[in-house]
Amino acid sequence: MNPGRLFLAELRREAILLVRYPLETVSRLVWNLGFALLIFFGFSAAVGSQASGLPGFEEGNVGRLLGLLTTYIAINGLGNAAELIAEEVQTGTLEQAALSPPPLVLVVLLRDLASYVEMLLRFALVLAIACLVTGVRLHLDMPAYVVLLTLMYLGMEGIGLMLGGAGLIAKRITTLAQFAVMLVFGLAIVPLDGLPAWARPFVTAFPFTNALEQLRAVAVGGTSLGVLWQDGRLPILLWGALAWLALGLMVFGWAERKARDLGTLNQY
Amino acid sequence: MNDGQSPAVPGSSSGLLVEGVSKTFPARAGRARHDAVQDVSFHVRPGEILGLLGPNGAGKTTTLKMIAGLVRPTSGRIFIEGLDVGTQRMRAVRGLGAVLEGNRNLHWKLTAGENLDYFGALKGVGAIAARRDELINLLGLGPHVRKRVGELSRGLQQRVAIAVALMGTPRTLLLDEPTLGLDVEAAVVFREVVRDIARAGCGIVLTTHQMEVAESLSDRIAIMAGGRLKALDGLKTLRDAHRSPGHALAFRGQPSPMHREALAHAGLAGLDEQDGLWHGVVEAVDALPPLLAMLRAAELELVSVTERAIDLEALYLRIVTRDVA
Repeated sequence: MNPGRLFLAELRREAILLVRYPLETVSRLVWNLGFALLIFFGFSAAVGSQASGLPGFEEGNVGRLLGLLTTYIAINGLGNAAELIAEEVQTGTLEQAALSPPPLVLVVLLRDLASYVEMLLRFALVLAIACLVTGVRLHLDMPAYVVLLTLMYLGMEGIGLMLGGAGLIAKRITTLAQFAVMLVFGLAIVPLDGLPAWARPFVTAFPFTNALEQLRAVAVGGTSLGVLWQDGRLPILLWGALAWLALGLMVFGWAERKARDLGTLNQY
Repeated sequence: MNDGQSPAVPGSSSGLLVEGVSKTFPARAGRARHDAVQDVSFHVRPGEILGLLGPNGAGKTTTLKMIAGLVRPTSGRIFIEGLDVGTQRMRAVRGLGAVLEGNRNLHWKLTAGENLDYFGALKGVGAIAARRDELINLLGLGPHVRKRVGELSRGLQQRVAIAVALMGTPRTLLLDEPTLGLDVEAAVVFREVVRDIARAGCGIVLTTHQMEVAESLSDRIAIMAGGRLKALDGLKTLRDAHRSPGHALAFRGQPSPMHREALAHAGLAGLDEQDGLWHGVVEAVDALPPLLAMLRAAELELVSVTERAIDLEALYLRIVTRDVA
């Protein structure tokens, strides 16, 4: 079993579907771009360049676009594993994955990462077009963006794997997934000052809020990855993301074993 | 077909070995605790086809899922090529292919060829393109390889599903209701394909409710009911063991009412005319000589005397209903 080959196969599958269903691909792009511009011009009209209260939106035009991008990727990281399980259970392909040699969690993780690569490319394009249309200028430190977004995604993927694990046993978890998305988003938009003291370190270290804050520092202030590492923010994001991912892998593994006991692994 | 016995061989490293496997599903919301499979054992050698029959809820699919590692047995062990599915799942399932949900196991938006490529990577196949082309030839998928699976007929989808299951060159193949929903032509082609796969050395376990499929394909028949294995043997051996006593007798001519009464009195039951021949059944063997003498005396022409045979359907019903009773 070669994870690299499997990842490439997942990427190829993503690419085939993008090319085979061009209307869906273009529609997704237009929707993302339209939403970005709607948020941008909507907030501009409503509050000008003043604070909005939403994460990443409070520091002007650059922040708005980054906030949108990050929020979307975070929500996808959260929902991908759960959606994948639901979709594969419904189509029946989960069964082939579950009786293949690689651990099911690895198949799910690699498929999510392939989906993340596609999403990252799509949003790079959306961001580029949005910057052209709006005149916003970012510090173009692509490695920093990729590292920060990937770490955030891995952290959110950990939570997504927990939801996916729940899906293996309970099957229908749409509402739970929506609740998790709202909880994460809610945690992020509550002003830090408004939280109890015990909750602040948790929210600050949460991959979504933490990555967003560092992305803004890169995009607006031109802060480098090296500086982020030295001042301790990047290590916190790294260890936080890995901890969430490890927790997600453990929970998913437990849920998979439980589903094999209960016979729910390939029920639909 | 052969009728050879294939007893469970503990420690055997070839083929599939199921040893005393049971599965009890614990009580869950709205469902009581359920003993789905109880103490089932069998061995399938390379190249052998085992037909697993039983009514709905007999435990056939749960047994297949335990073999595939999708359901963990409560007790007992399963070996594929000597590897324990419970403790060496990743290695054991390399030797296994399965079509448990038929055409549902495929990515319908991908073509047949793309499905084979994708699942080849998933199963860790080395030379994917070579194996894909080999299976496309074996299963006659050449003209359809570039079509999306969703556009194919059910019979072709089933063939693609089998090709996917065979991508890893398994030594054991599980087929759950493989001919369900296939038209007659597709079912005939499918049977040939299954025979070819077995000839190539792959042991096959197939479940079906279609007796003619089981009869035409299986080297041995296993019948499950109530989670237990009720019978396991070659079809001929099972027929012999469950044969109805007596002989079927056929003669030509027109027996008078008096002759018919005399024949019935001598032990010829169920006398009936079909297509110019009279048929009846004699249960006691020692009633035959006087009956034959009576036929000669009445100038009725004896056409045949045969041991009463039992077809698979009657055999199956006898075993299953005996269990229910």
